[in-house]
Amino acid sequence: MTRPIDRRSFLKITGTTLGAGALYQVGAAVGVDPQGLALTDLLGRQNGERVTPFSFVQLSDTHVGFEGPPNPLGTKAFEQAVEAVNALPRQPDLILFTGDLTHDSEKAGETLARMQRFQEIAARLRVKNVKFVPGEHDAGLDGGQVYHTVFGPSHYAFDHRGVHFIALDNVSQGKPVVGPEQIDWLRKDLARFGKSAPIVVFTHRPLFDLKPEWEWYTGDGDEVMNLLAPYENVTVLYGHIHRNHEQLTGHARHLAARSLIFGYPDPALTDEKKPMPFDKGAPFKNLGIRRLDLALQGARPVLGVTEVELSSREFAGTVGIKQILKGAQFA
Amino acid sequence: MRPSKIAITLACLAFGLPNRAQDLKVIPITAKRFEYSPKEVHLKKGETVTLVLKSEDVTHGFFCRPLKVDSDIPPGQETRLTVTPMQAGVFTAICNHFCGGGHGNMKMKFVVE
Repeated sequence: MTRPIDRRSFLKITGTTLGAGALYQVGAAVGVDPQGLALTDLLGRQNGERVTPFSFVQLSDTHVGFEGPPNPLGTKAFEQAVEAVNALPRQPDLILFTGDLTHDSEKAGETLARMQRFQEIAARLRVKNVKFVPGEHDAGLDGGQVYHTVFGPSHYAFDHRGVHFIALDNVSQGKPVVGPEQIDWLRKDLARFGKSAPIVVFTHRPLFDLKPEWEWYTGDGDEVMNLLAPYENVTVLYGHIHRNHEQLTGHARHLAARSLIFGYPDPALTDEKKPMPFDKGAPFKNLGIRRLDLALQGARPVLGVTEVELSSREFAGTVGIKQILKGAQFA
Repeated sequence: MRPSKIAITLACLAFGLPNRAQDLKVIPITAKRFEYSPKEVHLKKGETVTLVLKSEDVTHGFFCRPLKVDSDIPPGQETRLTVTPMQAGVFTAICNHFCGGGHGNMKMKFVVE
């Protein structure tokens, strides 16, 4: 069920569209008043580290190694996205990749080679605090064996400036499940937090039934969301569906990111799950990145979201992403 | 002592009860990368059937929420699922165990009349 934005929500979109849907610009952050600071300190004492403003970026579904008509340019969009992030006037603290870093291959050694190619491109990011979760194309065939060798654990948690980040793996068992072991780990991980703690979950597949007949679901996603239900400020970032989507379930806001390889159509408009056709005139159409800006509105943490569709003067003769970003006034 | 299949059949015949093991319609379905065969199966609303699933290559999945089925299909064995469709319509079953590049479009259709 999609619901209107709640003022108390962690995540608030206050954007206006610039250009033909090219950029979703977030409104300026509200200043922090003394009363708000006192409340922030109180929240900090309750939750651990005090929340302080920062920004981070979500990139998803780079599918390094993919070759095919929906995108004959291979890694170009990924490389362009890296340049775009590097060109941000204020560098993010953190980059999150939400799965399908590589496209699957059964050729001996090829999965590892694709993951190394991914790492070469990701290493060009100026920001070095980069986190990953696998997609089914990375880890679905071998139970995540090669992924774990290259990227380490596929579920983990960390804190950053008062926000608790949780990486969940819902692909490595072949099926769209998180599994009882990881759910038990999550229960223990959440135990130390107060109900107002800002929490960002990042994973690959949606944790709710978005379109089960397109495998856009997680079988035990309800169990995960039940554990998160008591928490008032939860944002779930995911990929897999190769298009933007936003949904509220209880207190939690779920946001799907565009991919960096090809888009999928709106399932409400078609029964056919087919990649959007490649457009020579706008080769990065439907591809994009997401920037998230954490601010404080009074004492409340507010997460601004900027969706950027990649487009390129070099390839398409249309408005380039750098021009768009230069023209935008970020908070 | 467990009753034998023959005893159950005789009891069913004597009391006019359906012998489920023998009377259920059996529908064989084969899975291989990246398709099911047949691609379409017709069922009757309220009629219980047995789906007998076999994989010819790797482990596949078989998932259709409206028919309440969600199972793996490991190769080298039969996977039997009992289904009673309770609503008419056209429902898609998909492979939900990742099986390679064409996995995302491995599906078949159930038409319930």
